Amino acid sequence: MTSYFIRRFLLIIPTFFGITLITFLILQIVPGGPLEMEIMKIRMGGNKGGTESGSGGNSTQNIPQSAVEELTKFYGFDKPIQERYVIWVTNLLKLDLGKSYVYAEPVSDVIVSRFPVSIYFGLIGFILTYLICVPLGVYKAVKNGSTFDFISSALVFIGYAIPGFAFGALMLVLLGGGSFFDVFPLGGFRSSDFESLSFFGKIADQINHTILPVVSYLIGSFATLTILTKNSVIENLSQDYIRTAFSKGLSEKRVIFGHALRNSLIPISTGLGHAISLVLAGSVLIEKVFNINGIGLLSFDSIVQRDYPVVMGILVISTLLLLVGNIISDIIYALVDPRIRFK
Amino acid sequence: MRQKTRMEKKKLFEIKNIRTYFFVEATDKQISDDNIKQDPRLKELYESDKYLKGKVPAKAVDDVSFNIYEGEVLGIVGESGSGKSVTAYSITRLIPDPPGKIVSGEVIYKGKDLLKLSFDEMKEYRGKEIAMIFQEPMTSLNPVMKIGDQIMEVILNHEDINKEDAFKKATKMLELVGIPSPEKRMKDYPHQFSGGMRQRVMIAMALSCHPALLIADEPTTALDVTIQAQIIELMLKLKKEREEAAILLITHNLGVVAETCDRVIVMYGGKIQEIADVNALFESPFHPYTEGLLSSLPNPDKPKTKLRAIPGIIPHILELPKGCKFATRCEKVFEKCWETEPDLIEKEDKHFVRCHLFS
Amino acid sequence: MSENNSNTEKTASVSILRKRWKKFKTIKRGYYSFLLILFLYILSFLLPLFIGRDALIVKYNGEYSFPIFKYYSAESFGQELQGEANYRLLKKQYQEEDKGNWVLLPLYPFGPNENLLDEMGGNPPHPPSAQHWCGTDDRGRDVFARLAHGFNIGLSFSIIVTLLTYVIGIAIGAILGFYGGKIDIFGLRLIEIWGTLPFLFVIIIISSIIQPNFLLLIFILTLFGWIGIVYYIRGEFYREKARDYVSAAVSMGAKNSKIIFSHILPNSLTPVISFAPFAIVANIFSLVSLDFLGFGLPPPTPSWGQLMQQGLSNIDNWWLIVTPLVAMFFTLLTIVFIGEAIREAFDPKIYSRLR
Repeated sequence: MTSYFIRRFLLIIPTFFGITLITFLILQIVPGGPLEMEIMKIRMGGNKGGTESGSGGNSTQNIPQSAVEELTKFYGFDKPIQERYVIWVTNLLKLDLGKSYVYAEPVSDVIVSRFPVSIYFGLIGFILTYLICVPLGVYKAVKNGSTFDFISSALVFIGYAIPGFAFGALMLVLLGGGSFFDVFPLGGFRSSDFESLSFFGKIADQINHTILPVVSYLIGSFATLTILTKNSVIENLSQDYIRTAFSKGLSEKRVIFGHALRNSLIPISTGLGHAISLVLAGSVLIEKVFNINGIGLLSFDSIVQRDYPVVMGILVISTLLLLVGNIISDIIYALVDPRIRFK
Repeated sequence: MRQKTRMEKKKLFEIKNIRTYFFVEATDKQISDDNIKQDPRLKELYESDKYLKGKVPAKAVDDVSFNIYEGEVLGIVGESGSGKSVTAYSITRLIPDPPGKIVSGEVIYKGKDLLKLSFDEMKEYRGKEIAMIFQEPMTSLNPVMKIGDQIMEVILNHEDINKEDAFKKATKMLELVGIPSPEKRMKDYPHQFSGGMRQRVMIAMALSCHPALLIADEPTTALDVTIQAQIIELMLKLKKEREEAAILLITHNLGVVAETCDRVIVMYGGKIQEIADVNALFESPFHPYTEGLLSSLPNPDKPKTKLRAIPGIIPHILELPKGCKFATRCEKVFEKCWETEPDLIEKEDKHFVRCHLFS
Repeated sequence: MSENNSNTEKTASVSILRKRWKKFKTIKRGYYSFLLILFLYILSFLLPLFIGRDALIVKYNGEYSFPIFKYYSAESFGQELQGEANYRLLKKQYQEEDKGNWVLLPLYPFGPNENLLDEMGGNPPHPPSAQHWCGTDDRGRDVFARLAHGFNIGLSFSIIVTLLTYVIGIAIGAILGFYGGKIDIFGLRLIEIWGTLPFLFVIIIISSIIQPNFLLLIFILTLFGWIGIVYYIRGEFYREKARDYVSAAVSMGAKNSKIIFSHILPNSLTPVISFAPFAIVANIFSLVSLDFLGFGLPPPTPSWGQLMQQGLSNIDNWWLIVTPLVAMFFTLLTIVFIGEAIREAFDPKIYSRLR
């Protein structure tokens, strides 16, 4: 078992380099990178009142050759691509992710400063999702065919047919003071005057900013998790060992909670590791809707602004999280299911 | 063959007119609605239960009555689909609903009709008075629960006992069923046991409260031939802890029946076709079906005779003939067999048969 | 007895698929959803006939023309405008002139990409009105027309992506599962790398750099969408391969291709088929998300996600969010109903109690 996990950890290395290499190549080969963008910016700023056409022409016409060379050197584009990747990897091994073009700060600082916000919303959403969906799924399975099951199924279908971010946008329109009610703020992590609020004011403000994004997170995985739980429980209730449990004279409650539940939770708990890594990486869509300054929004912005060091940095971290998350899933699997002994 | 010791033994269980139907999605060919309407009990069910709409009853067990006497080993034999297992499950009410339902009947034990009890009352009998061993030892134990806990669960559930004593008792049960170093193995999970070992665990679990009736549903079918005899022997040995205790053994293996049972019920098409003491049955079977079953066995007394199989297969449960259920495969079939179903009559002392040849 | 035999054969000859289809039809919610969405989808290919700016027929000076098929300049119908004729204005003009000329417009005479600022006045977006059922967007385009065309585009998009990912996923899964061994080990490693790639992230990177068109976006989403199916089909193949009927076919000297296509594949498809509607839903999600982020189909393609993006930056104009959301909601809900019914027909889960 230990050797299995050691091997899993070692396998992270090739996977990790495969992924970074692919992304690195995409970023470096396709046109429209930071160099072109910078040159364009300078040109746009430098030729006020100049010819308005010429977009197809030589983009460096107004910039001295030496400046272009300097820029090329600054972005490292003067070296061949394989050398650039090697440099990037070497720096990475020294735990140096480079410097952000946009923020002029080390990439690691930029990313670390955004993490807490993403984790805050993601983790609350994640915990609530499991706290609500798993019991709901179990209850639905036990009460299969009842009115409650029927009505909650309607909710589940609705949840399935609305993406979380779209639901968030709808809530903002309805409750964010746009057209109807002004109950919740338009987004952000806290109000701008947060520091001046009283203690309880701070709490209220924080909660106020938390509800809608968290509900959006919840909607996103509500349907899948509930139905997964329900089907898993129903599936297990028709197994032979359940019949054995009944034949022992146990109460229905004891059979469900003592026998069926633990088996049913196996497929759900193995998804945990994966889910946690996704939570930590933030959600681009929800952070964009609610203007939450987390990792998701950072990755969006840095792609738009061609801040490639940050893009690569986020990729490194989210890939590592994902890979480690997968291993955590395996560990959980081995913990909850005694039959699993990885070889 | 064992010597019969049953003289005028007391009845332990009385099973009366049990009908257990499975309500299944109708295929192209239907049993017409008239059939349902003619039966007042079915009509009542269809009116009260929406789920049954558009479904037809597959009569897995149809009007089965028999007694289980104290101390006996009663066998039920028949091919798969004959209704033998459903009969056994009906006694402990372990019929999956839907699609199954015990439509009518009585199971009398100590003057009480078990079929009329509520779930909570019934659970006092399961495991304590009636215990079961299932066909599939590989799937019948909870895979994520230590087997010690699974055995202790029955004991703790039915006896006023603390955990420590329950553990001791469970360990002793494991020892009795021949599991080496039982104390250590209490902490193991089912997947760490072989099939035969798991069946031993099942037996330990089933017998840990010394039930009055042990129902064993094909307990040896999934096991190696060499282990089968041990398992049967074990069940018989442990039964002796309680004198009036009886065993209901469901099997299609006539060899096992001959070795272990005192009395035998032969089932076909959801109905009892023949009941007899084991010697009477093997020496002079009445029903053509029983004859067929026996002549498919090698007989050491007549080594030169050919083994013969019963022709055809058991028809689909919805397509059983109107008259005698065995008519489609019977070599002695005549006109009347297709028309009316024979009654179960006592042809000789304690030897019942359902066949027009004898009525 | 003979009667019995023929009946048994008859029951056996009812194919499983037909049985499932029959079962599917009995699940009313799913079946009607299926009919509805099929009808709407077919209808949406004829959309210009019902919703569009081009007139169906114009009668001008005794001659009939069919602008819906052909470009006509304003001048050719006697309209004093530059460029293409504006048929709504033309209709008014002809009615005022009363010279026997007439224009037959579509029922809802606004195109999805047509800027209506000249006719409407005021500042876009305009709120819903009798004329513009869902108002206009921030460029003065009719929202209802954009929603309707977006339906066709979104659904076509996700159906194509689903089909492609299925074909690729099934093919690769079948190869890995059937041949096993080194191919399987090596293939799985590559797939694991590919599958661990944070694909939304990568798609955003690609589309932010090269503005994708319809086909390119299909290509990109297909590129990252086939992995889940591979694992599934591979597993099914491993399981089915071990079954007796396959060994029987092998021992009878059947070719590999025959074993794969006529023996194993039909048996392993059930779960993937019942999953297809949910895959379509997921692909619509992806498209809407990308459009919302601005990395989806190029403007001015009518799209739901792009409308929502507008709505979020114009939070006072509720219809820009509510209407696409409602359209998407009902589309996805019907597909989910279909999926639920298919699953029920293919793999019914009965909850039995022991009482």
